[in-house]
Amino acid sequence: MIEVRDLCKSFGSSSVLRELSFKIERGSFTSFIGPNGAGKSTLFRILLGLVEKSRGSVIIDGSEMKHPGWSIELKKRMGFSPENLYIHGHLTGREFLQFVARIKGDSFSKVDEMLDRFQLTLAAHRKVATYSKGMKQRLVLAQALLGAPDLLFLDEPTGGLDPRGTLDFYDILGELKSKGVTVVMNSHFLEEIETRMDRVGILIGGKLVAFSSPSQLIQSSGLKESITVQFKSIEKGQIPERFQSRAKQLEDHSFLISCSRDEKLELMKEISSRGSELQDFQLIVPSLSDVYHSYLRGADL
Amino acid sequence: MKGVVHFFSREITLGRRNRLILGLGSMTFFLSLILAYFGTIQNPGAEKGVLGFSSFEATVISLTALSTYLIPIIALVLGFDSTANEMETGSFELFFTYPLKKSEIYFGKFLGLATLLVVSTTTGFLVAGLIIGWKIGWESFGIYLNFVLASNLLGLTFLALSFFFSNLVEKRAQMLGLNLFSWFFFVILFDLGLILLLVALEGRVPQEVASAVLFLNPADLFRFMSTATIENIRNSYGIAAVVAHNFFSLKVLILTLALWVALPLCGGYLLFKRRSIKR
Repeated sequence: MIEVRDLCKSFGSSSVLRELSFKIERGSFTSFIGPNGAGKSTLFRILLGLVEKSRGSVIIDGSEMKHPGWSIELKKRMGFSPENLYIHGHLTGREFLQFVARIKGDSFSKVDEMLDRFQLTLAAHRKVATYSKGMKQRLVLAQALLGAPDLLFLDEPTGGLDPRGTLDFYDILGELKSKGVTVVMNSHFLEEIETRMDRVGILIGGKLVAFSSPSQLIQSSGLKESITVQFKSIEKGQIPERFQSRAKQLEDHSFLISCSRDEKLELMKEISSRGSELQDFQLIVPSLSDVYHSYLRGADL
Repeated sequence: MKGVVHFFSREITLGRRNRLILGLGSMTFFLSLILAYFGTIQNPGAEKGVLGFSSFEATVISLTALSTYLIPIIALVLGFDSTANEMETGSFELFFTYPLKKSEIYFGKFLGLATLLVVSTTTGFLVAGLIIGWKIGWESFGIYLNFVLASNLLGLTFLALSFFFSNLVEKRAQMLGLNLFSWFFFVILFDLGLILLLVALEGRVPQEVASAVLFLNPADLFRFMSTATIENIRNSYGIAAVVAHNFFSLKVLILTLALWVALPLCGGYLLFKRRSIKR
């Protein structure tokens, strides 16, 4: 388990992280989201023992982090995939992974397995300089998984991946979840993490403004569900009176109506009971992205 | 200490791939031959006014003058480039999360680069030396071998200095500036400053003190060491060499240059150990 208490970090007079406190359970998947400069990468570097904290404490499985970082034993359990890593272009993909495998005490057969899992087998003999951005990203992810870590830190792991690569990556994460691996991520891809993370932390201006499960974040946000309805002709009168003030005309024959979760069925019943010539309707449920943007608006960003 | 071996191997592979050994070896080989053939006319042991391979004494004197400028800058750039690249590309950030001691990363990289430097310069100089020896005979080949050893110690000294200076600051431009300044200081400024000081003091400085001060400059130590086995150096190689040769043996020179490798290397390690990621 990772426990962070009152974590603060300043660079000179600039305060980057302000009194962060949270717990990450063993085997859970957690992602931090936030605008650029919110402190996500700094938080990651502190959790990894790369950057010294200014105040507070970071505890992993009962061991408190002391300068200059984690013990070799704890590092053996960690895997890290940085956001931007320019692997030395003169090494081949296989050579790079073999170099990491030797350091982490893993076998070369695991290297081949990783190359296969990340669809790099055919390019394994090529110098990394010839790899595309997505291939380099896959290579960086593959090195993080060498040594069978039970604690993975992934900084923007799907940043350079194509849709297929992204799906493959989350398939692999699914396997890791079944093995009890703890994953801590930074990501800007909110749709990806909404259904896959157990916890999401929203960092804005160095503060952890929310830390909960995606569904709890949505529920507690106060954001309402909405329905778009499309009629054959424009007739606002077809919308029940008490919803009319919340109805916004979108295009020729469509209206967007905000309603609470409980009002949703009632609204649909009333519309249909009025014999309106309803052409189509769509239920719009608030997403993690809506919650995130509402926090950003609240922070005036 | 397996990590040392891993990083050592990595540097060797990279050096082989980017043709560092081939480039440095070829450069030292051709420069040695060109200088031995064209540049020794005025040196002791050479036949005045006649082009061609003359003697190992003459060759070593010419090569010493050139190597004093060339080898330090090559070693400094080699060390700076390696450290700055690892820092800028985020490699250190990743390496520091691996189950390794920082000493394994630092000394593994140094040993790898040092091996590349030593192998390339030794190969270049030795192959050229064998050609020269084949042409003029092997009588003074020991003088040439002594020069090759001194060149290697000079290269290692400046490689260690580059590891020290590159870990002293954070930014690439600062690293480059410090490394270039160290070259300028040790290769040019130090002797110039010392001469000006001695002239200003009008000979009131004892010879022992003057020569001891020269030990503060590895470039001077290299000059003395590489020419230490040449008998008639007094006639041709300046007052500094004469002073040093009068007071210090070859063993002392080797030991002092070895210290010049060890001290900045260890100093650099202490800085590297404290290094954290600032980005």
